[in-house]
Amino acid sequence: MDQTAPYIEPADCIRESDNDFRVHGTVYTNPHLFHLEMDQIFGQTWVFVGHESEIPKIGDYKTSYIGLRPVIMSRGHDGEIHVMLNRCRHRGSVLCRETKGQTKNFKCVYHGWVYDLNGDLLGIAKHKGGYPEDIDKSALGLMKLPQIHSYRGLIFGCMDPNAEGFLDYLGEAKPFLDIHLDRSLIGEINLKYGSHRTEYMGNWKFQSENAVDGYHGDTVHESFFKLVGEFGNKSGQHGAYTQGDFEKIIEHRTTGRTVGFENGHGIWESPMTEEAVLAMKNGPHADYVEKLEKLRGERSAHQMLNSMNLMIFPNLAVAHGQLRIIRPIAIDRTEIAIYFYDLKNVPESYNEFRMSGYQRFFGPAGFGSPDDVEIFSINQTGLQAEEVEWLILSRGMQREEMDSKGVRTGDPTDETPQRAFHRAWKKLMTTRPGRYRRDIT
Amino acid sequence: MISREEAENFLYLEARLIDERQYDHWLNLFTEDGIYWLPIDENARPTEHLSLIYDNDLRRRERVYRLTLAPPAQNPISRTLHIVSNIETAKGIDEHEAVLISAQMIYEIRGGDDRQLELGDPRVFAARCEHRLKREGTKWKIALKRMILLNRHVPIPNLTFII
Repeated sequence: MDQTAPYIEPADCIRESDNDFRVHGTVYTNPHLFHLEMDQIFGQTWVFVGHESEIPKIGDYKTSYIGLRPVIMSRGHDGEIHVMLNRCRHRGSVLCRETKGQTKNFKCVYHGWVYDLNGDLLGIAKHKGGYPEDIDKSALGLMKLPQIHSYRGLIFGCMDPNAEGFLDYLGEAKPFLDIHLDRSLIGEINLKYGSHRTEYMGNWKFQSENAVDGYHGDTVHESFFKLVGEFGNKSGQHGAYTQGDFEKIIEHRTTGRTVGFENGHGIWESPMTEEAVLAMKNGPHADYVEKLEKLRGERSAHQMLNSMNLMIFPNLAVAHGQLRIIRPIAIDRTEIAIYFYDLKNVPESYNEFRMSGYQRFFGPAGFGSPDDVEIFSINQTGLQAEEVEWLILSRGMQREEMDSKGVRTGDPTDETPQRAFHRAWKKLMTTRPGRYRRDIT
Repeated sequence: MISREEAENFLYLEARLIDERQYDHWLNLFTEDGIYWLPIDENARPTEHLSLIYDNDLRRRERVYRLTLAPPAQNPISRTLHIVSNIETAKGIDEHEAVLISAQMIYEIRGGDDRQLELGDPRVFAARCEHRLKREGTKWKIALKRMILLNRHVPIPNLTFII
């Protein structure tokens, strides 16, 4: 990538007028904008760090990232979860080099400074004579995240002490996160199956947009729908497609909706047919469906079983029984980690059924994921033709409806969630001067 | 007990069938209940941890069928060359079973407009393979192919070709 590329003001990158919504190509190709994003997007929003179930015991830790910032999530001696930057106060080395582990404390491999599980500085190697006796150790702990929030086991961190609280940030999208978690009969999930990791030569926002894109499936996933048409769902069910008939699947894909929320969140929902719900109620998992209906009476089993993708701005997707973390590496390089999760207190056979369906579509060798990922690098290559300045994200604007809370609803193939994403992007990118123009404290 | 020559011939044939994209022939190397498995955590059962691939007969046939449809991740296609080495043979439970351990280096490259991102750059996969074979009549068949990739823990882009 051209590091000397001209700088374009983020305010000019998103253009919206009646029935016209455009995103400038440099949003995906300009390295300056990428660094601004790491500060203004990932430095001002709530970013998913990990799940409680990954660190059940005192001394357990996992490493994660908030944008490019390496962080540690640990279970302290107090039994609580702590999230701090994975950077020694002394000379900046990372403390943890494993993705997960068990430890008594965090010791820097460079000069041996030692920190407690909650990040407090315990000791400075060869302290005596090197530093004043009364040096204030309490100011030299690992930098704790200004805000963290545990929502039903999902740990989110925020680098901005002045940002609104997590629940306000999630806003009207909250019930949709609840639906996913409420599919467990005790409302809890467990990340015990590890993750599928992949990466691509393209911008991170392509995956954020795609996670709630109901428009691309007919083309990008045509091979999968044909496969279901040919073989049915005996080898594992993905999505709402129980039809086992290619034409019917394509027809079904016009049902459902997209929603765009304030703060950039969005959903794409593909409902199960009555026929499919009946099949679930009378199939091998009838027991689970019955319990679910009894427990979540206020919402129909229909809604509880729908295929519904939720994108939590900027980089967490919750869909198909998975948490998908989109990790920006560089302007044109992105990692995706997909954690398929266990629904707690549901029959083991149902989780196995879910996992089989998940693995049929997702992961580096799945029958769906690799095709999405391929598109992201196809996009990145195409955007090198910079003379065509704008990408068009106006699909369905004329039929989109907005309620009093600013929630916009569109057809299932509309770009309603993508527009919500870019509106939030623009707002955050223009609300404060970037890191490079900020005073040093 | 399988002879060394039989073991080598079997593994070389499988490698060539994949490289030549003779997938129907490759499918026939497996027993009806044969499993094609690429674990991520090689110490976990396939129900305890995600796998990269865990295919029974049906899922394998779906995989091969999908490759005939030229999905984006295989359009242009991958070309591969498998190099099989470090072969060890062991007895199975009885004379109708055998275990082959091998090391494999798989070179993969996609063509097309090769200056485009994700095309044209060769990739190398290294793996330890375990083949559990069963005698069916005069032929050895794969009851389990378990392939432990060296890079199974790090991000892997596009494993859509048959590895």
